[in-house]
Amino acid sequence: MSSNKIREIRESIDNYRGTIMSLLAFANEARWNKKKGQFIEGSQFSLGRAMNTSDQNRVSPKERVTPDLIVQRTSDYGIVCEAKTCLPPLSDKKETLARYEECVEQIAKYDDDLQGWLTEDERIPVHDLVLLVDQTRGVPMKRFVQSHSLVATLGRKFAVVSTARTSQLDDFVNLRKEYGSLTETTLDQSLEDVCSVSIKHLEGLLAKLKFYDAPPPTPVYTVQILWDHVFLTLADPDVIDAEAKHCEIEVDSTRLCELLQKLYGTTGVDSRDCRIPDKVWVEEALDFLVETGDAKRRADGTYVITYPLRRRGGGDTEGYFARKAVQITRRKEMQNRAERLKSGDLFEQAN
Amino acid sequence: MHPAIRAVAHFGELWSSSENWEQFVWNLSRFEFPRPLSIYVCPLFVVRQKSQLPAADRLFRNVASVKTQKDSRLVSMLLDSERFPQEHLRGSLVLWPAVDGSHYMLVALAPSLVWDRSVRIPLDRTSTEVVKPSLTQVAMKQVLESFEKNLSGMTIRVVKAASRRWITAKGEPRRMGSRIDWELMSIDEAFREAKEEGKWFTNIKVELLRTGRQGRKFATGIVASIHRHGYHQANAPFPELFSNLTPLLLEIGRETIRRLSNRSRLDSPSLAVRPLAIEYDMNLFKDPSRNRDFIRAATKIPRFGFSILHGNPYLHMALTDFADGSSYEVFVVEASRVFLVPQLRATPGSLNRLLSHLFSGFPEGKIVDAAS
Repeated sequence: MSSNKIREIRESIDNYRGTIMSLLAFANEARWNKKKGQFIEGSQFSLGRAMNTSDQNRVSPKERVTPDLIVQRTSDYGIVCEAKTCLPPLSDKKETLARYEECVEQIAKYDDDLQGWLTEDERIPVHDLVLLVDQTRGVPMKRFVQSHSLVATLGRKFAVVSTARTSQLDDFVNLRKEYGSLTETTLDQSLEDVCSVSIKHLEGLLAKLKFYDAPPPTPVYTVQILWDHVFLTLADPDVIDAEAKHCEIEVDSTRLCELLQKLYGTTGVDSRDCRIPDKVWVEEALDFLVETGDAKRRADGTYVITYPLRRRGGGDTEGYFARKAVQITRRKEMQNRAERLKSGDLFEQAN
Repeated sequence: MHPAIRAVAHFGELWSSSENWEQFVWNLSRFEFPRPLSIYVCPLFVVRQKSQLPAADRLFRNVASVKTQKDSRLVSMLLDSERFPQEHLRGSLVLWPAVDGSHYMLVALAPSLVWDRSVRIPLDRTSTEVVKPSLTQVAMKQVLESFEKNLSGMTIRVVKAASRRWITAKGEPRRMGSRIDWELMSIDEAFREAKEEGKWFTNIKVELLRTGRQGRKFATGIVASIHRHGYHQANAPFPELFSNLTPLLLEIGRETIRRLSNRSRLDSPSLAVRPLAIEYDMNLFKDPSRNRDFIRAATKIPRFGFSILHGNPYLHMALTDFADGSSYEVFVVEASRVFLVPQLRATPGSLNRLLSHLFSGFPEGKIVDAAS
């Protein structure tokens, strides 16, 4: 039971990483000039850029919206992309249908003359809409949008693109158009034929981009990054030199968040760029470490991390914290149950 | 007094009576010492503490006494193997600083047991503070060929070679194993055979042969060896050891330092990554079980933490060096290449330690700069 829960946590983390990989793969493909074998000159992309909708917008008029990815192929043509790689299988269940409905509404939000493009006047003459889904949800999403009234009335070209990681001699992210079309015919044809983006072109980016617009599925994700790459660099080198068994590291969530934004997210070059990760995500990770007993929260809001200079649980850091997360959830459930038992809630429910 | 102890004591005095490195080398070349002693040499690059030498007991084991000279940068140590307290199992070690302060030259006179236990193993295992030259198979071959070319009237032949290779036994997981071969062969033959058998050398011992008038070759009795970590050794003093072999390994050491330096993201104002790649001339990762072998090698590195972020079909790992806080991300997404991305902190000492250990448990590849 608990190993299933640990697997669930690790799968959700893998999905989050997979989404970032898919977004980057799509950004690469959308900016690629096949004939010249290089990126289109002046093409750009941005993760989580804030855009303004007009008063004509059918879903969110005069609002600030943040698509997961915008790709500016040329100064005349762009693509707004939303990634939904963790959808449940399509069924008649109310919650499932609501998740699919939400995807379409989000796409409809971007069917507007959006302001905030990386051009001089922040506008672009033509842009298309892309919904990026996991390979297993490609066909169900196609079925769903085909019969959707909102999709039928979209004023811009819209495509559902499925993504999957595959392995041949090297490893690739496959992008395949499941529904719709794009204005740019070469890109449209490439996605129609299934294009494979080699992960080797994304490695460098993946090592420095670990957050996107959506919050991580679990604090374990952020904790792994902090534990493996950040905390020890903030420690006093003399303490590490002394081959001590552990060291204590003082951290401030604001400064830690700024560091993570510089290292693994976005810092907000201009006012439209989001600052990712959000401070709340970092605080959640630090609070999680307080719960695991690896940190203490001080009255002034700062944290002191106790970092053992050895492997946690004798092995994998992410696995260790995933196990801890399951234990904490179970402990909380037990406490809840005990409290409800004490107050008589459970008996009342049984009656 | 045992003649070996007398020689060790004499060696200890030799350094203090030498005015400079050249004089020390000149004296050493004419210095007689009995078996089982050997002379060991290795350039050491101090990469932390603003090039100051770390405390001797942190670098070496079984240090019986330490003497320093001048501005305390010139150090002499008496080594004593505690586990084998026989009287003659003693050695002496000198750390001679380069004039430009770029490195130290480690010179030791010791029996192989004392050298291994007190110097080589402690240096290989724990230290992130010093970097030794790191030799690939190609570099090892080039050094030996160049060494032979510059020997006047002498040739060399391989007499003993320590190597590593995969061992596959039926019903058992594949693992790395060591092998020692005692075969007389030329350098070319040795490296050709190694390639065919899929093994790579860690240490090669060569015998010096003198060519007679009619082209006949006679053994001189001098045996020298080079280790892939830059240690070189001889069982008798001869000038070419210092004038020929040492400069070659010093240059490789400088190249190692150049390649591993300034890799951390802190070294760049924009916190940019400066990745390295380990390239193989075959599709090693075509077989997906190689990912497992790589993980096994990476997770066995002492004082390193890890997270396996993705294991199959592609490999993505995070590695943390508890010895100095350096950290890395590793990707294997191509059949013939490992992509290594140093993170916020990545010292040359830590990188060197990581690569040395990786190449003890996994086939050695060529380290190159990779585009980010």
